[in-house]
Amino acid sequence: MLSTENLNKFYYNGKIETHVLKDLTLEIDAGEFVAILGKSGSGKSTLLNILSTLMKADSGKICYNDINYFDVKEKELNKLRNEEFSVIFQFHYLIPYLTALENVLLPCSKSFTPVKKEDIEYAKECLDKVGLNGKYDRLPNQLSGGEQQRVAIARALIKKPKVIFADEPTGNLDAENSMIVANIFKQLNNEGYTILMVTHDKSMADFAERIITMKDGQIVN
Amino acid sequence: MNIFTIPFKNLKVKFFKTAILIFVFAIGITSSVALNKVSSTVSEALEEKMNKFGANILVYPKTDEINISYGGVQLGNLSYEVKYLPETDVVEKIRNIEFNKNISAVAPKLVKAAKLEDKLVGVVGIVPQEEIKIKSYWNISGKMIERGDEVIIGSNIAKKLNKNMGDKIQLYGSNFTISGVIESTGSEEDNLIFANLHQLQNLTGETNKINFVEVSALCAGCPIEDIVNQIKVAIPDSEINAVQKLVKQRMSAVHFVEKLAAILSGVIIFIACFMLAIFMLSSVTERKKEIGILRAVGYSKSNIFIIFITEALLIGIMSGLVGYTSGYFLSFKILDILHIEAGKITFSFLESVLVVIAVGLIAIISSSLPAAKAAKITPSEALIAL
Repeated sequence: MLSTENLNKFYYNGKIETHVLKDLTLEIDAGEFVAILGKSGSGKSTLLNILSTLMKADSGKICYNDINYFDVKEKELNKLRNEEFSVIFQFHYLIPYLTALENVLLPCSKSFTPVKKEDIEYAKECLDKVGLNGKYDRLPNQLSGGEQQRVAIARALIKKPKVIFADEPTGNLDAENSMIVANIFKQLNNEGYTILMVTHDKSMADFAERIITMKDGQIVN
Repeated sequence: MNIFTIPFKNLKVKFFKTAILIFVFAIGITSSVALNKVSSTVSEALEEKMNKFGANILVYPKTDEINISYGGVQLGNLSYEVKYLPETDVVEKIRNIEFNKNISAVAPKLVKAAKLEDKLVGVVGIVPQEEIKIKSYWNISGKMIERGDEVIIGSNIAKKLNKNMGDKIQLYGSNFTISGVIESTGSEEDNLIFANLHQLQNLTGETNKINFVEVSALCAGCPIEDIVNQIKVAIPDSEINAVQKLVKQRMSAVHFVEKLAAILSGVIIFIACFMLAIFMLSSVTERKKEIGILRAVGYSKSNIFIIFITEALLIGIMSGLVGYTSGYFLSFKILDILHIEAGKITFSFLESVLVVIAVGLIAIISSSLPAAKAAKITPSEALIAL
């Protein structure tokens, strides 16, 4: 479903070149729950950003089904981000002046026509699923940190994506909320979602079916 | 909810910032609208005042002689031969020039001398209905000539001959009734008798002859020089150059106010546009995180561009509405200070819609660069910002 072959990524800071991903080859099957584990600077977040099309790689091959990222235009990548993929970040990244429901509906509201009724109903279902029923009209600052992250998860579900990318989704949460989020991911995986989660927390990674360990831009295990 | 929800809600949540920007932009529009309305009213008032000074084009027979005048004293020319123009031909030709719609009056005249109670007086034959259009500054005690046997007389001649409205006088052996006395104008008209042109032509045997024609063609945006040239072409045996300088002065005075208002408006609107562009640019930097979120959920570059342009358009529309309305009311206040009657200023719905559309477009143009900058932000760039 999702694969990379000899993937390379460099960061440049003036004349200083950092080789972040080194000839990385990886394969993820549909329906898998994969955790990428590694220390800070190991390249795990960069890998997730590249796989989710948020960032471009410098060389190698990245394929989602038959789509090679290097061969498709910007429009196709936007479509992938909107319809096939969802990204959940360490921080919730909600738009502060939109309600929880509106934040969930963001991926559906990029056209001139109003959001469909069934999308609104499904958005409410998604919020219910993450335990936020009755909090549809709350603004992000009226929700706790854990609830905000759950709104972000609900937003990730609205378009029924094939793959959910999560970059340290519990990095900013306490133990209790981390467990709630981890259990939601487990449940989503049971429902058939492919999940790729980046974490430095071994206890979180244990929720995944497969753990990929990274060090210095390479897969070590 | 749709793509417009984001710009609407963003402006709403930043109420004070938006209100200040609309206020500043609206000041620019207010000044422009008020200046425009005041300048057009002042121009019209100025033109109206200038029109009261009489005709602006004089057509008289061509002569090779040299006119002798010094210190305002006309000594005539070195010829005793009086030249005439054919009335019907000249009037018809002037009336038929290309810009004939801009000609408001054509007043032919025949000037003759006559004896009245043993005194030599000047009699001017006029076409009353044309003359009155040019001599709007005449205050006649009585009424204008209506019949062939009626005359009006200047204030000096009335005093010297002790004549009043309703008195009978005899000119060229015919009886005339004084229908009115022209109040003092301070000009040579105070010493003249005005009779019906055709009556005078018949009595003096100068059928269809006139000495000169006064033409009034002053109006806003009149192609006055073209009118003069067209009359020159139509009547080659005539002289017209005498009042061109005056015409130019009048027109430049009329246009000066309009040009000044246009320049000031332009500067004010430019500053307002610059402020809007700066606001949008800072908004793009400030909302890099938001752009990142939107790009991450699949919004395209054009989606981001539309969001920022919609915000600018909303600010433009609001500024246009506030600016036009306040500019309309401000123009009354300014005219009141200038002691100019504001009666001609009207609230035009069409004009207000056009102003709002124009301001909206100006806002879009001003913000297109910051919006394009926002659209260019890639998800990875935004992620670094995140």
